[in-house]
Amino acid sequence: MTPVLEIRDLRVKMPTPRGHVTVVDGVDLTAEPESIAGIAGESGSGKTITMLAVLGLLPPDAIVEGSARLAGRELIGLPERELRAVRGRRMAMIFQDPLASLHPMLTIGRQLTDHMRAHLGLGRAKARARAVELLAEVRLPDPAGMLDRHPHEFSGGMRQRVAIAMALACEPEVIIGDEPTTALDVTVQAGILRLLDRLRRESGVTVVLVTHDLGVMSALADTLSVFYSGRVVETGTAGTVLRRPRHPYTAGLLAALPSPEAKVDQGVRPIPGTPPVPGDRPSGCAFHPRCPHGVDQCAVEVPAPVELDDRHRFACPPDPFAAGRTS
Amino acid sequence: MSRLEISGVHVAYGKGRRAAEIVAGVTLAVRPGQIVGLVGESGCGKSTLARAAVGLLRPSAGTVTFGGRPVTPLGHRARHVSLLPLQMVFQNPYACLSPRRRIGDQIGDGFRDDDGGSGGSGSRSHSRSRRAAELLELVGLPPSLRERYPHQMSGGQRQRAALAAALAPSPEVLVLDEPFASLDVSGQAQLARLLTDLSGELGVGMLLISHDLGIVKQIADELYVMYLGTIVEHGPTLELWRSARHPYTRALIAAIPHADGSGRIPEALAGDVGDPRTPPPGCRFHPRCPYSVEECETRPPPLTEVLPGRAAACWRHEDVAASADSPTTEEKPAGPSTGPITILKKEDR
Ligand SMILES: Nc1ncnc2c1ncn2[C@@H]1O[C@H](COP(=O)(O)OP(=O)(O)O)[C@@H](O)[C@H]1O
Ligand SMILES: Nc1ncnc2c1ncn2[C@@H]1O[C@H](COP(=O)(O)OP(=O)(O)O)[C@@H](O)[C@H]1O
Ligand SMILES: [Mg+2]
Ligand SMILES: [Mg+2]
Repeated sequence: MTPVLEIRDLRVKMPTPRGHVTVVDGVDLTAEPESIAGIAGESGSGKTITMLAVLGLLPPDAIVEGSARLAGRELIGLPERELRAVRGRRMAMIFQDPLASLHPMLTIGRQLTDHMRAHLGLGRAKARARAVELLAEVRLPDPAGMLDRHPHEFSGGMRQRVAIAMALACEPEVIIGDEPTTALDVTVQAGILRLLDRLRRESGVTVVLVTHDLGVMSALADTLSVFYSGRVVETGTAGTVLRRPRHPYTAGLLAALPSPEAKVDQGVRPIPGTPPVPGDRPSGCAFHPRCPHGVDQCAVEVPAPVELDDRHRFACPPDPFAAGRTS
Repeated sequence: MSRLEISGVHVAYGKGRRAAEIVAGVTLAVRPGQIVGLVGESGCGKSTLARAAVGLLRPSAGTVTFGGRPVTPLGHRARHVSLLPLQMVFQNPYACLSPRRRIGDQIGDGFRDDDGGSGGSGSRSHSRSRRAAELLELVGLPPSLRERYPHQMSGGQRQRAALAAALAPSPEVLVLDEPFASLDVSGQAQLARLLTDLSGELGVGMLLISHDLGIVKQIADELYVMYLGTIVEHGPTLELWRSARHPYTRALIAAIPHADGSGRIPEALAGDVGDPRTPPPGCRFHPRCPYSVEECETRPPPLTEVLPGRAAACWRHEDVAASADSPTTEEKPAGPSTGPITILKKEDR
């Protein structure tokens, strides 16, 4: 099966007052058709920059190298005019703040129909009918009545549903959701998670889901890639990575989560220290200063990925969680 | 003995006929060394209650006392010295940190004169600077950050610096409004650990306010669950978590996604949070409640003791207790629910 989205050795250097610094450093990522590919990691680990690079939305003075293919077609280096067509029709993005993709002064109906008329060449009446369908699809009550309302008339959860309807409008192959539920209450978040799951099954769209929330990953993601300091340190099926993590960073993130039990006596177990800032990344394995399992070699060599047969890969050759080892 | 006592507090914004009541009769208490969690969806009135708790807003009814004395708003600048041991950390660190002054100086402002060192002004400022460094270390920041301005720090660092500043007057009770909101997983865990240590080692009582029950329940001794300006359930954390008696508490718990790799999608709660200014009649939760019956639509249930040390405001709390799980709901429109309740399971992987 050809992956819908295939990222290979992607590198991004961002301009700073001290010159360009590497913020994405050799990322590989594959999203199969109709799957949800999860990207997790602490803030600042390069998740958003990776997605913006794929969409060609980075500032012109950012340096992007490597490859990102949408259904086989290379996106990196594509002229802006062609990228714009790809972004409108074939790939769509949902942001943490739905207002980022909605115009505050225009009605929901106007925004949806303008978008479809521009990209799909639909007539006014057809576009309006389709807009009603889309709002029903994302389960907004009274979809026809919604068309004449403005974004500020909606609650956060309803706005995110509108943003998803907008993303679906041109039936894209890929939807990239960057922390799409992070700003919502869990009660509302759960509804959006159910919506994304249904859309994936019913309309066959591929979703790249970026979030630091591993609970959300567990609910939705088929595959999971864990970012640390601009690199993928572990990847595999979400179930495997979450249940049997092999990279100490993944294990640390999971251990730091509130457990499903309340007020456990051993207390909370955070990962010590803070993530490195770009331009000041530790040598060797970037996680080694915070790692409880480090050996001498970790400070020197950039760890080569260890590959297990079930497409589970992790960048930690000492492999402290290998079966039979106690750690 | 409670240090902070909030009893029957109502808070409204605006005056006269335009007054909009947000908090509608809340009673809660914080004892020394105790972490009391206050949870509920965004917009239910948590921050409003917090501001009333520290005397930044005057309740329209009810009382707030600290160490037995009334907490009366005198304006931000003129807080009575007896209120110095009652401190608040705001959701936005900039609400308590000035952007134009170094962190060390701002922490130094908070020291009470009696423990700020004695002697000439030189030795006093030296001692303040040393104690500011100690506080930064206490909250897990390098002492060198004393020299920085707020904008030169990361979001997580600013949150900790604001906490250090609130700790300067040696508070007995801290009100923390959404302290986890700007942090990611590991930052949240670090802060949760720090708060547990502060309450355990320094005996600081805390009112820990958050929309995220998943984190709060990890460190709070007691929980208060708020819905549209009222407390709907209260009790020891572990008991509430294991056997909630109010359908809203159950819904909050059921909506939390767990990173267990199971692929299970948590339960959504139908409908929207609503506006406390225009609460529905009867039980405020009834339009979203799967247990709602006719009585719930007209008569507001009082918060009553359901077990020793536990209270719930629900006409049907016994039926809720008898049902093993919270009812499973299908993906619903974002409006109030009308359809039948059916079960939607994610296909096995
Ligand atoms: N416009 C920018 N210029 C320079 N550096 C940036 C810019 N945007 C983000 N960065 C840096 O790139 C790194 C990765 O950021 P980002 O991809 O936003 O992280 P994430 O989404 O994982 O939280 C961060 O350390 C951030 O400071
Ligand atoms: N200064 C204010 N004036 C008028 N209404 C306000 C003010 N601050 C908050 N509100 C309203 O009070 C309600 C509760 O807000 P808040 O206490 O911030 O809730 P929470 O902290 O639980 O999210 C909201 O409807 C909000 O719009
Ligand atoms: Mg990001
Ligand atoms: Mg608030």
